[in-house]
Amino acid sequence: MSNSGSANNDLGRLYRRFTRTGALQALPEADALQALAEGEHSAETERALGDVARSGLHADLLRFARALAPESARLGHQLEEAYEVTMPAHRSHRGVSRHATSRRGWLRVAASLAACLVVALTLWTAQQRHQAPSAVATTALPDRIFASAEAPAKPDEIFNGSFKGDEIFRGAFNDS
Amino acid sequence: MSLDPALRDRLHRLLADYAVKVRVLIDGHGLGQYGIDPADIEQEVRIRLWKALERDRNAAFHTSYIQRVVLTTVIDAIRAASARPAEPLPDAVEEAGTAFMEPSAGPERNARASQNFDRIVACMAELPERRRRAVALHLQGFSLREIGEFSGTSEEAARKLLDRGMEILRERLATTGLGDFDE
Repeated sequence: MSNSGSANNDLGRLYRRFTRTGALQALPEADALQALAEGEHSAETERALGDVARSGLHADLLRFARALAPESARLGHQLEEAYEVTMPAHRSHRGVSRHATSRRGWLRVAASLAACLVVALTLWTAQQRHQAPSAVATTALPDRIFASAEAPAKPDEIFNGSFKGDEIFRGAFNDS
Repeated sequence: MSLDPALRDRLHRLLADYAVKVRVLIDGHGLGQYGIDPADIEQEVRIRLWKALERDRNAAFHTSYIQRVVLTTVIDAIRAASARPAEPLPDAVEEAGTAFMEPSAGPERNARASQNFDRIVACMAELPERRRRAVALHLQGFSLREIGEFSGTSEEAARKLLDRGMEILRERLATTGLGDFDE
């Protein structure tokens, strides 16, 4: 930029001085400031950026937040490492978690098999119930076709020989 | 939290080291001018992070979480400091704006500086929003890359906004008698 010489520095100093020492400024929200420092874009960070433009305090805090990031990342890593190295239980805790996960997997399989078994049993039972009524009916109502074999049959009306002879062909007619 | 003594020592040491770095950053960014004591912040950060580890150590491993703890500590401290009876600001802040002032004006110096600042703000208010923001962020000391990143634009787009904004600002300041500073 062609105009970024000492005059701009003076302008910047004056601007920063008065935006820092102005009337008591509303303090930023840590979350919004951090989101802005991490390069996020939202309505919240837009508002925070407007405050940074107007307030030297907000601008200083934003710069501080950005400078803090690498050290914070390093600390997070070091803390995790400390647990890993110093406390084997931390590792075994993870091992237990994995073991628990695989056990949960087997339990799921077993539960599925049990559910399948229950469904199969239900279907089989339903099928049995569907077939049962015809058997009962067989017992209750004897088959009319084969009933004669069991009960004394009523003599056949046609061939039992006790029928009254045919009036027309009886042969006992006279010639009158 | 029942911890192995060796782990406890290691964690304390890590937090102490980090808190010292936080203190150095606070000093380096001039946050002491807002009435906070960097030594107090160092101690408070250590305590808060230790408590965070006791509550949920997995959360405490995250960069964002650690940063939020520190930022909250600093903001709380500034809030507490601003609630205290007014104290004179350190000399460093007073010195910062002297370039726009008459060297031997005494009390008039501050009055003039204040007047100049009001004129600058008035001239900036006439700029379109995006240019005004780019100019303001530039005057707050942010780089073009940072301005672009915060605004969600490229560095090149930020440069154009800033160049045009500063050009108009200079013209406006000149009409109010503040345009005689050497480019």
